[in-house]
Amino acid sequence: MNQQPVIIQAKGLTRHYQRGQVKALDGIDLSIRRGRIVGLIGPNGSGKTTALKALLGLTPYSGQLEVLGMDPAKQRDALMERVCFIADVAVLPRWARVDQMIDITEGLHPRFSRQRCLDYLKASSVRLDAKVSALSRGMVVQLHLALVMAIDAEILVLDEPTLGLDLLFRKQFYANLINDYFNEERTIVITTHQVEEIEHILTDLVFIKNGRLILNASMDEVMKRYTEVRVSPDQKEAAKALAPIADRTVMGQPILLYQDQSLEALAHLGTTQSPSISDLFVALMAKTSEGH
Amino acid sequence: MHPMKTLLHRELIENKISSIWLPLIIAAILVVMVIAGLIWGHGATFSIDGIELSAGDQLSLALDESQGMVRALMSALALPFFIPLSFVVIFYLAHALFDERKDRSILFWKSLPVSDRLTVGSKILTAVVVIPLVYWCALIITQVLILTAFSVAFATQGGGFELALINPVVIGGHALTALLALLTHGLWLLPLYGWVLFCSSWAPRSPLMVAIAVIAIISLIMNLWQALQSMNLTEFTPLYWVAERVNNSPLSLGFRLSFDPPHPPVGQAGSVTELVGYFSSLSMWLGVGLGMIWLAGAVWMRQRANA
Repeated sequence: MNQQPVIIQAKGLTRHYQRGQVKALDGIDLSIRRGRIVGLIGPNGSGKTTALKALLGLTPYSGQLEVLGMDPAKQRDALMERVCFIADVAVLPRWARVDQMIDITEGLHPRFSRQRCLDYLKASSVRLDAKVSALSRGMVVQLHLALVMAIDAEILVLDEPTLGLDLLFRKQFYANLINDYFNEERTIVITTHQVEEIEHILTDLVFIKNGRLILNASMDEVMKRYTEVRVSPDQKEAAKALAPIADRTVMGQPILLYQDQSLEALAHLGTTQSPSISDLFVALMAKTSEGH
Repeated sequence: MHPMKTLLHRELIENKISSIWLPLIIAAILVVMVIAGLIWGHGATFSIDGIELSAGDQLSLALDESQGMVRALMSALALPFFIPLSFVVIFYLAHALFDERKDRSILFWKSLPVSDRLTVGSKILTAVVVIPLVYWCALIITQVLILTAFSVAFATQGGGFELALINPVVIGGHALTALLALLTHGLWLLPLYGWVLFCSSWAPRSPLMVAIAVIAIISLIMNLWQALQSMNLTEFTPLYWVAERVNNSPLSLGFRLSFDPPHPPVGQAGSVTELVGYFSSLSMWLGVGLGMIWLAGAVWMRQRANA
C-alpha cells in the first residue's frame, strides 16, 4: 500500500462560469499522493485546464482544495516555491535572451540551481546568447524544461507541454522528465491529448468529462478492473452476454472491453489483453454519454 | 536572492531601448552637436540666459554671471531628456501589465514565487524611480561633458573662467535638485500613473487608448450634463484633473520657469523649497492615495488574469 502522504486534496472542487450556466468543474473529489505521475485526461472543454489552474492558484473556485497544505487561491506565491508548471510551449517572454532567463529565474526562485540548468542546456541545442524569439518551438520547450528541472520542486504540473512539437522532441521531453527529474519525492500532473505517449510513465489515471471525474484510479487498478478480449468468432454471443462496456472491430475481429469481470470468466472467450488508455478513454467517454 | 532587484532589472532589460538606449542617444546627439558647434562653428552664437557668446569671442565674464549661465545651460539641457521621459513612462505603464497577458508570458511569471503585489510594485517603482534615474544619469553626464567642452573652448580662446564652469557645488546642487524634481514629479503624477497601470491590467487591447478614452468619455458626458443643467462641472471632469495635475507638476513648472527669466529655473536655490512644498500639500497626498487605489486595482486584476 502506498504510504506516501497526500499532497493534493480536493473536495467538492467547483468552478462555474456565466452565473452557473457553464460548469467547468462540478464538485470534483481528488487526492494525489507524493511520488505519483498522474495523467489528467479529458476532451476539449472538459475542465482539465480549469482544474490545473485551480491547483496553481490561477483561478478562483469553491469547495475545498489543499496543495502541500496550502490554499492555492490565497497562497499562490508561497506555493510556487514548491510547485512548478509548464503551461504550454508559447509562454516564455520573447524579448529575453536565454542567459537572461536563467539570471531572472535564479533571482526570483530560491530553489533554482543555475548549474543544473546549464548542464541540461549543454545537452540541448539551445545557445545561451540566443533570444527566445529566435528559438524554434522545440528549443523553447527544451529551455522551459531546463529552467523547470533545475528547480527543486515537489510538484510539477504540465498542461499540454508538448503541443505542436514533432515526435522526436516529444519522446525526448518525456525521456528527460523521467530519467533526469522524476523521483519518489516528486509528483507530476500531466494533461495531454497524446495519451499514448504518456501511458507507459503514468502511475495514476484520471478521466474528466463535463467537469466531473469519470475515472480516478491507479494504473494497477485500471489494469485489474478493465480487460479487453479479442473474441473468437464462435464466442460472440457468449461475450455479449457478459455485458461489455464497449466493443469495436479491428480488421474484422471484434474486441470487447469489460469492467470488473474476472479473467477466468473472460479467458475462454478469446485472447485477453490490457486496454490502451486511448481505447479506455474512448469507451468511457461513450459510456457516460449514453448514461446522460 | 533579491526578488525586487531582479524584477527591476527585468523591467530594464525588457524596455532597454526606451529606458537605456534612448537617453544615451539623446546625450550623444547633444554632446556631439555642442562639440561640433564649438569646433567648426566659427561665428556660431550660443545664447544662454540673455548672454550671447560667439564661438570665437574672447570671454571675460564676472563669476556670478558665469554661474548664472551654467545654471541656465543645465536647465536648458534638461528639456530634451525630460520631455521624452514623460512619454516613455506613460507608454511603459500602459504596456507593463498588458504585454504579458498578450503574449501569455504571464503564465511563466506566475509560475515563479513572486506575489502580484511585488510585481505591480516593481512596475510602478520602475516608472517613478528607475527609468527617471537612468534619464537623470544621462542628463548629468551630458551636462558635465558639455560644460567641460565649453570650458576647454573658452580657455583656448583666452577666457579666464573655465574653473567656474565646472563648479562642483553648482553642478552638484543642480543635479540633486533635478533628481528631487524628477522623484516629486513621479509621486505627484501617481494617480495618473496608477490609472494607466490599472488599465494595462485589464484592457483587452490598446491600454493607453482605453485609459485616455475612459477619461475623455466621462469628461464629455459631464460637459454635456453641464450644458443641459446649466451647472458648472468643468473643474470636476477627469480631463480637467489630469490637465491640472500635469500642468502643476514640478517638471512642467520647472520648464515654464526656465523660459521665464524673472523666476528661478530648476536647479536654483528657490526650487528646492518649492519642491519640498509639494510634500506638505494636501493635493499631493490625496493624489498618492488615489494612485494607491488604482495600484490595488491593478494587483486585484492581475490576481485574476490567467491568460
